[in-house]
Amino acid sequence: MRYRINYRKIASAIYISHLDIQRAFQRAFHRAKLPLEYTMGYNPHEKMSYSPPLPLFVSSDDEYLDLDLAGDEPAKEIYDRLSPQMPKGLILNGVTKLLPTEKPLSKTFKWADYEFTLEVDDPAGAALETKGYYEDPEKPLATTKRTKTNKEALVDIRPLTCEFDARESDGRLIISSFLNMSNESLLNPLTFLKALQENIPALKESETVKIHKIKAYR
Amino acid sequence: MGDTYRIKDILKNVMKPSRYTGGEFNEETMKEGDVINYALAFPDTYEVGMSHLGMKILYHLLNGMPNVNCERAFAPQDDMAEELRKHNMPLFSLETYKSLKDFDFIGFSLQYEMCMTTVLHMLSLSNIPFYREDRGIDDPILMAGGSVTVNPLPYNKIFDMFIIGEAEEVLPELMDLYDSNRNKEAFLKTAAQVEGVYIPSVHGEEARVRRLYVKDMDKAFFPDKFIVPFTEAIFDRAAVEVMRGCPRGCRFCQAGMIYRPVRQKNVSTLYDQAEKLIASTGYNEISLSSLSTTDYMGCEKLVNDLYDRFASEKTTVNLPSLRIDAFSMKLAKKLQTTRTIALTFAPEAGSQRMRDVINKNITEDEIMATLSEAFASGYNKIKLYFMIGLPYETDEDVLDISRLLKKIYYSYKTAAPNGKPLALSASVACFVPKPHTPFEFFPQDSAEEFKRKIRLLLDSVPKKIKLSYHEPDLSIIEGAFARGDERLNDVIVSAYNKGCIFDSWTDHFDAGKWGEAFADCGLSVSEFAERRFGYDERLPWDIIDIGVSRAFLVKEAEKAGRAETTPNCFEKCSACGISEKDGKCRFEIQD
Ligand code: SF4
Repeated sequence: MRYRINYRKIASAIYISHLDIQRAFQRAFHRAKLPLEYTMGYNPHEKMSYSPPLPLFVSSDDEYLDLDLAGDEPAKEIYDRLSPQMPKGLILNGVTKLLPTEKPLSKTFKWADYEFTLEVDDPAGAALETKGYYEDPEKPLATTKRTKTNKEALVDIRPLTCEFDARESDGRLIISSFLNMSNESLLNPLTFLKALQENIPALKESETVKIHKIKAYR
Repeated sequence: MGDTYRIKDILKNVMKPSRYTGGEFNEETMKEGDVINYALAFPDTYEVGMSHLGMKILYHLLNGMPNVNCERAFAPQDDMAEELRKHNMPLFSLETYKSLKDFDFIGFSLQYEMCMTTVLHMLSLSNIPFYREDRGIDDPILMAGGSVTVNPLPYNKIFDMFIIGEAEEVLPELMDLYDSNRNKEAFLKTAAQVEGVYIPSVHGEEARVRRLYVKDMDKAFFPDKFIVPFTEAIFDRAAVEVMRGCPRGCRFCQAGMIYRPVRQKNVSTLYDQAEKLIASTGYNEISLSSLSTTDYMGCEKLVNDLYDRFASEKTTVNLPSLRIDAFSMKLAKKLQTTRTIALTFAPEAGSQRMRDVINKNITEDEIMATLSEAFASGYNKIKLYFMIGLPYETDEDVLDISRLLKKIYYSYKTAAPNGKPLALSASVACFVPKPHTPFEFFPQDSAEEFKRKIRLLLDSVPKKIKLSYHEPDLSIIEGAFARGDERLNDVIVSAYNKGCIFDSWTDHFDAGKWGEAFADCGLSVSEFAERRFGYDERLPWDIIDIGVSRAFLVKEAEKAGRAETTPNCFEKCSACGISEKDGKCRFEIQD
């Protein structure tokens, strides 16, 4: 049976790399004594898959992983066993059983709702300028990113974003936006932020305080 | 709590930041209230320190006390150290991000001589003065433990106190003692009366401090959980300690002398401990740790029991130290389902005469028989460990290492079951005469002599055999510290001030700076490393009573000269002095 695990990655867990998260989950599964299913071959490993990796220093309330287990136990049972075995900062939201027709995680989500907290000299002014800049399609919003083959490529972030907003809160600048999360045109939140900071004058000197993913949408 | 906002800031600029944040599974929860704050410090990286079994034992032991919080601290990598300096932040503990300076105690684990500049690095990052005389009543008490402290003099102007032997025997008592008045000076005075504790400011030159050791390993504290690091440590596995000490008595080996007598755990104790650790960590590997695990009397039963219990869960059992004998091969074959991992053995010397000199009780026939068995079972990766510069060694003995390697290499051609080539590698160490061993009296070879002998090997070992060797310039400084005295305190400080740090890593080690540091103090490496001591001379480390008698060490040194061997403790007691004080050694165990 395939289960989908929904979890948060917060507090000091933002310093854990994607690879280390995978290992942390494997250890937690062992501690929870889940009936794991293994791949065949020389180096058997657990059958599991993840939603796109979150960059270091980014927190999230809505991360996913799929796991195959032998047998068919209620999702609640899996949740109850796994929950106390999770390390600090990796917190389970819930576990659900997946229908065989369910698409794999890499094809499930289209958009991710992100919130960026920045430190700037004049947050209210910067919020206005940022919003105005974004909404003016004439203004460039592109930056370079490294591709999988380690080449530089230019990305225009405007078509990969929606629901953009900027505001002041508690003396800081808050930018929120949906970022494309589909496999082919995934937008990394660090690339998004880099594009804003490189292009919008008011953000040139800004310091990033926090990057947080609120929710993933289908 | 420290300044977490600034800590967050600097963590963005370092590699693998989760090494500095704590919060791993099984990290202990710190108690509220006015408890003793103890920092357990390891002068190496997180990955190395978190793999050390002694650290795990002490961490959970101390945190189990109602009046102590024990936190961890490691040496930051260069990028992190730079960030700390740039932001003017002190080195902090992993549990509560507290500056080391704010602890009551900092207990350093000294596992090898060349870690000392890293100790100073950690002190410097914490704004703690290096010399104990320069520290005040409000500074933490600096403790040192670990095998380096069997000769504490080279470090006795730096640390306030040394624990000689196995610290779990005395740390709880010392904590309670400190709790009774919480005054550094008064504590040091009274702690000097406690067995196994050496306090330089109280004990004179003529002190004689007895080593402490756990008498009953089955009753000794052993944690039922380990912290599970997020990043990969050197060893990510559940290690159970099957025994302490080694019955063999190799004459070069310090561990074989300073952990006497052999103390084994019962099979059932180990089975329970392994089971608890696997359940609490989620690891999928159990390591049976000790100096010589196949000598453990319950080895076969334990291996079989654990194998039967865990094989279905894909949890493997592993033996870290194999002897070159049929029994070890049998176990290795059972445990290793794939043959891709290299088998490692330590013949230590190439000639039979030399192996008899060092009392490595193994013959060339046994070596060849074991290896041909390994080849026949499909192993084609073999790594062998040797040593050069041993007492009574001739060039013939050195060249015998190449002879043996060639013999092994060509024997594979006839024995190999498949056409795969043999990956044979040999690692050659430069011998360091260590205190409290029969070879403590002997001078170390000079760096030039080591280099000449390495040349002999490089010129005679065929290129198909991969030969690596330890850096002679590093080994002689190790030798100087192992055999040195209080004059070396200043050399460490001088070397650190010249930029020496992480010296055990060859990419950081700088022989030139160390040479200058000795010269600046009016000293030379050779006067320590190459010094010959008389059998009745007073040695710098005579302030430590390790339990083995001088008479035994002298007798063993003389037998070495005649290439005579000594039986191991399990076969026959050689009256090394241990039983005189603590009663006859008994080695039987229960299932
Ligand atoms: S007293 Fe005998 S048996 Fe005990 S450690 Fe010494 S030599 Fe071995």
